[in-house]
Amino acid sequence: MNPAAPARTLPLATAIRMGRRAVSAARRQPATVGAFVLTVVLFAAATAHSLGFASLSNVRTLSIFAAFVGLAAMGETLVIIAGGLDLSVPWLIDFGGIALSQMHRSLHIGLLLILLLVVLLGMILGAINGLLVTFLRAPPLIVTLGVGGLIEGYLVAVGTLQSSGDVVPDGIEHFANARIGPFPDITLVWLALAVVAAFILSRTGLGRCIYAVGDNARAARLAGIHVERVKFATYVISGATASLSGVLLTGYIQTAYVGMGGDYLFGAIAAIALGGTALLGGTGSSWGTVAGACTLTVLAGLLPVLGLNTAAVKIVYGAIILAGVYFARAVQQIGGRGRSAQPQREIQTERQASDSVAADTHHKGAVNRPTARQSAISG
Amino acid sequence: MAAELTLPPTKRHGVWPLTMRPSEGALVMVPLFVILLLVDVLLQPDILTKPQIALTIQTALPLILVSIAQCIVLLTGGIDISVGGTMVVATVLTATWVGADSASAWRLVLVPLVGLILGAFNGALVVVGNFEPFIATLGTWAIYDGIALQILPSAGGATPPALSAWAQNVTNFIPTSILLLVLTLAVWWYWRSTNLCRHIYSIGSDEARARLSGVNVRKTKFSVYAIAGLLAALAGIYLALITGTGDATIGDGYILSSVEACVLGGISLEGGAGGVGLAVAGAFILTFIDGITSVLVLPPWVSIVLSAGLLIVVIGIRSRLAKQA
Repeated sequence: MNPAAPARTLPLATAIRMGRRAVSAARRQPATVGAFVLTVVLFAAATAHSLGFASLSNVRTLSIFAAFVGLAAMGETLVIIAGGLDLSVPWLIDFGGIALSQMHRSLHIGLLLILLLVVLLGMILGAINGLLVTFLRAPPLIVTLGVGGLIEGYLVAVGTLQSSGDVVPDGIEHFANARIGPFPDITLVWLALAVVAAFILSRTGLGRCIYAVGDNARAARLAGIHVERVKFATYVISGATASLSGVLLTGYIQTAYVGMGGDYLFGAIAAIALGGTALLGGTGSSWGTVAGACTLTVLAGLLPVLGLNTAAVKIVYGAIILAGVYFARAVQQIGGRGRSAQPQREIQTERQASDSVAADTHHKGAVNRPTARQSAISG
Repeated sequence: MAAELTLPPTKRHGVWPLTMRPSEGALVMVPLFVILLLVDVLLQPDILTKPQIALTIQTALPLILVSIAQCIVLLTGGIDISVGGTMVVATVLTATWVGADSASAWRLVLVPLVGLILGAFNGALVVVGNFEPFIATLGTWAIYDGIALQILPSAGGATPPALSAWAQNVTNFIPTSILLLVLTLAVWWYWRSTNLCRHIYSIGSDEARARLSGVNVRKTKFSVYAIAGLLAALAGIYLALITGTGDATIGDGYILSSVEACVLGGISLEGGAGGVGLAVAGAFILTFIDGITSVLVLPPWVSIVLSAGLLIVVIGIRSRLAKQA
């Protein structure tokens, strides 16, 4: 209705427009807002219990831990939105840390080059995931589990060779513990990459293709999208962010070992789900995962503060994941006008029979194959 | 028309032949199973004595039971991450609440019920709460793991000595592990002809069509998760009995292993294809791989790479076959 904004804009008008844009973005992703609200509530609860929780150093530590979860989950968010699943993330994290340490010892090249090499190798491993998923048309759960196993086997094999000594490059160690102003480097890297991921998802052709492929792969293919290429790209990105997460984690904990990424196997998926990304694909956002990572980290920090033992922490953790996902979905369905996963699925299953008949006439051979959505459900 | 629709769906629809159809998965599984069995036997010929066979089955049985649990859930197109949690709850209950005291040994009967309840909770989340199975069971896995850890914070406890001795016995006329395996297979054989089983297959192959043909999808799914919990609890009890102790941390390894066993056996993650027998075979395949690597004193990574590689190869061959079919 409104005419286009005038060319000369007053500062106030600009501010209002930015505010409106933020509100409309929040409207589109109510689950993200919900997860942030949940984070704030948990944080307030923890602070009410012990004031030290809100201390700058504690917040800083929390933000660093959130960054590891967030980075591990970042690429996987794209994978899941495109209707896939990447269970190789924990082993990619292990790989990032151990490869960094190995190269630091055996190759005498600059740190930046080593870093690039590690991330590149992570991308290649992600590419193997992507190739197997698209080429074999196999369920991503199994393929990425298998690739994860292969990576683990390789790491266990080389891990026996190294024992002690200068494990982590000083540069990375320094970087992981440094901060710019009040912000830790790692947190800044995470947020910067989250902006990039959000930009890819919402402003680029690839992003739109990712949503389209996850929503309905067959429709996307009929619309001329190279479904395989899009899926492949998401796995490559996941390989990159997971291995980078491993590198930073190694720098922070100053050691590298097989199994250090283990907590991120389901942790990353929990963060993604808390952020309102449906595991069926087609919905979700990068900021949702950022919010989910914050929620999980604050939760993990809060529970020990309350004096709960490990067992109780696990129980509450599980309960909050369930409650959070339920909440995210409820909010998404009430607030989000467009994209709610559940009703769409119903329609799709009802329609599938006639769909496959229609597809049969156009695309012979494409019928017997399970659609990406089906493999995503099982995955 | 109306009369036609009200006919019993299982009789008309003919879901039954689905279980008879040789799946692509089985075609890959059988040679793999035979080869690994032959290699294992050739490497250690004395494995063919009765106590050794019983011992192999004893090692494999917990994984077999968890794999069956995973299998029936996969058949409906779902997945159960929480089997590891349910299993450890049963294990620690057996080692503490039941305990070594013969006066409280009767409580062992109640432990499977606990598994059934935990499984039913999963089912309620999936059916009533409309959760995706992966997320629902991911959350309950953490909860159940926590409960087990609360009951038994560090490994310990003791199981009824008489029952443990019975479970560990491999020199009987019929060794216990073989007896239990046969019993499991017998139950499965009977279960195959039940309506519940047919409904599982029809839901797995096409949920919308199953609903339209009168299958109570919600009830069936709920039952499947409950039974999976029961089976996981049985696995946990057996594990506690053969080790004679409880440990709240042993469950996690079984989660991915059970999925692996099902896939190696030839069960489709899309649901509707495969059977419990294949899951049992898959669990044996994993056990053989472990056996072979330990006999040859190979480094641990060989076993990891072997099972992961097989997973990819099997799934690859299978999807090629499925494409040709």
